[in-house]
Amino acid sequence: MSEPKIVGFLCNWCSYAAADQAGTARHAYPENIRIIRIPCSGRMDPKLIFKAFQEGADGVMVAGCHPGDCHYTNGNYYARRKLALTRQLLEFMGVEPERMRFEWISAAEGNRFADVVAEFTREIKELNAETPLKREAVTR
Amino acid sequence: MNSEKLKDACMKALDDGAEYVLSYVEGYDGSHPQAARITKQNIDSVIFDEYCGFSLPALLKNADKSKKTGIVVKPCDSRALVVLLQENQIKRENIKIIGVECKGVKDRKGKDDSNCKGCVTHKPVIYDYYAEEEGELSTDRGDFEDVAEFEEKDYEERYGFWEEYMDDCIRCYACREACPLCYCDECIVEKTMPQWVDFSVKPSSNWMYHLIRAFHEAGRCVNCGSCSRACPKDIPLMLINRKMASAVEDMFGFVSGMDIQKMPPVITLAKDDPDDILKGGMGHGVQDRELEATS
Repeated sequence: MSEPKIVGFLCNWCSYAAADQAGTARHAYPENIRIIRIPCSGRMDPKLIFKAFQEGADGVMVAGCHPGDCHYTNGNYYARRKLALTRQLLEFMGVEPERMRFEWISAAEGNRFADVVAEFTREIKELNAETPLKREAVTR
Repeated sequence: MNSEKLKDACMKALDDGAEYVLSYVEGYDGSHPQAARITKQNIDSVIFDEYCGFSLPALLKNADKSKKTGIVVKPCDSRALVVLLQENQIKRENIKIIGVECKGVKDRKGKDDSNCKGCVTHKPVIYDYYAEEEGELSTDRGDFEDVAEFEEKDYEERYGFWEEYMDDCIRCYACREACPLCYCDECIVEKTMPQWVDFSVKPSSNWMYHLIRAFHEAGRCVNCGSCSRACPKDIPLMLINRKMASAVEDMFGFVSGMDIQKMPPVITLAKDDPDDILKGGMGHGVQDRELEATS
C-alpha cells in the first residue's frame, strides 16, 4: 500500500508554531503530512476538508489554539462548531472517523504535535479502505 | 381544507395592501397543484390540500421585493419565512403571511411523504391570517428515527449507500431551486474563481455539491422536504438534511425557524461548547422544548 497522504491545516499562531518547534527540537514525525498554514482555525472552512479528500487526501487534520487562547480571541469557538458539524456530516456519509483529526495544540506543545501526527498517520495506515470522495482519474 | 377559509384569508391580505397572494391552485389534474399569483379576479381558484407539497417561499427568490406580497405558508414554510427574515432576505412589512395548518403532504409518487413523520409543528409559527385544518391536529413532535436507523449501518455500508446516489445524480439542481433557503444569487457551484466544484456531472463533483449544500443547510433547513420531492432521481436528500438538523439540535439545542430571536449556531459562538463534539460526541442533550407559535 502506498504511503497515505495527510493534509494538516494549522493555525499560524499556535499549531503551526508547534510544528515549527518540533522541527527545531529535531523531534521527528512522519512525512505523510502536508501542512497548510491558515491565519486562525476560525478561517477553517468545511469545504476545504471536502476538497482535501477530493484531491486525494487520506486524512485531514485541523489544529488551532486552545479555547480561550485564540490569537483573534474567538476564532476557535466558531471553528469548534463548524468542525463538529463537518465530522457529523462526513461520518454520516460513510467517511471513517479516523480520517479526521481535530486538535487544540498550543505553540509550546511541539512534542505533542509530533506525537499526534505520528498517531494519526498510524491510524490512517491501519485503515484498509480506499480514500473516500476522491476525484476520478483522467484517462487518456 | 375547506377553501372558503383560505379564500377569506387571501381576500383580507389583498384588502390589507398585498398586490397579489402567492398560493396553490389546481394544476392539470387533482394531484399536481401549481403556484399562482392570486388577485381578486382569480381568488376562486385557491386551493390547499395534501398535494400542496412544494414550498411557496421558494418563489420569493425572484419576486420583486419592493412590492407587498401575500403568501400562503404551511407550518414548515412559515419556519422558512422566519429564517428568511432572520437572514434579511425579506422585510416583514412587505409580506402578508397566510398561515395554514397541515396534516402532512404527499410525495412525488402520490404516497404520504415519510419526511412529514419528522414534522416539528403542524401549526404555522408566524402569520398575519390563519386558516385552520379540519379535524384533529397532532401536537406531537416528529422524531429522527430515520436518521437513527440509518446510523446503524457501518461506515462501509453508508458510503456504499451514498455512492450509488452520487452516481445517479444528474446535477439538475432541482433540489436547490425548490429549496426556499437556497437563495444565493451566485451559487458556490457556479463560481469559477476559485472553482470549488467541477461543473461536470461525475460522482466526485456530485459528492462535493451535496456535501456543500448539506452544510449550507445545517441549522437552517426547515424540513419542508421540497428537495427530496423535486429530485428526479429519488435521492433521499432529506435524510442528509435531517441528520444535520438532528446533530444541530443535539449539540446546540437549536431548531431552525421557530424563534426569530434565536440565531443559528453556525454563525454564533459559545465559549462553553464541550470539546467532545470535535471527536464525535454530542455535547448537550436534547432539551424538551415547548414549541409555541410566534406571530
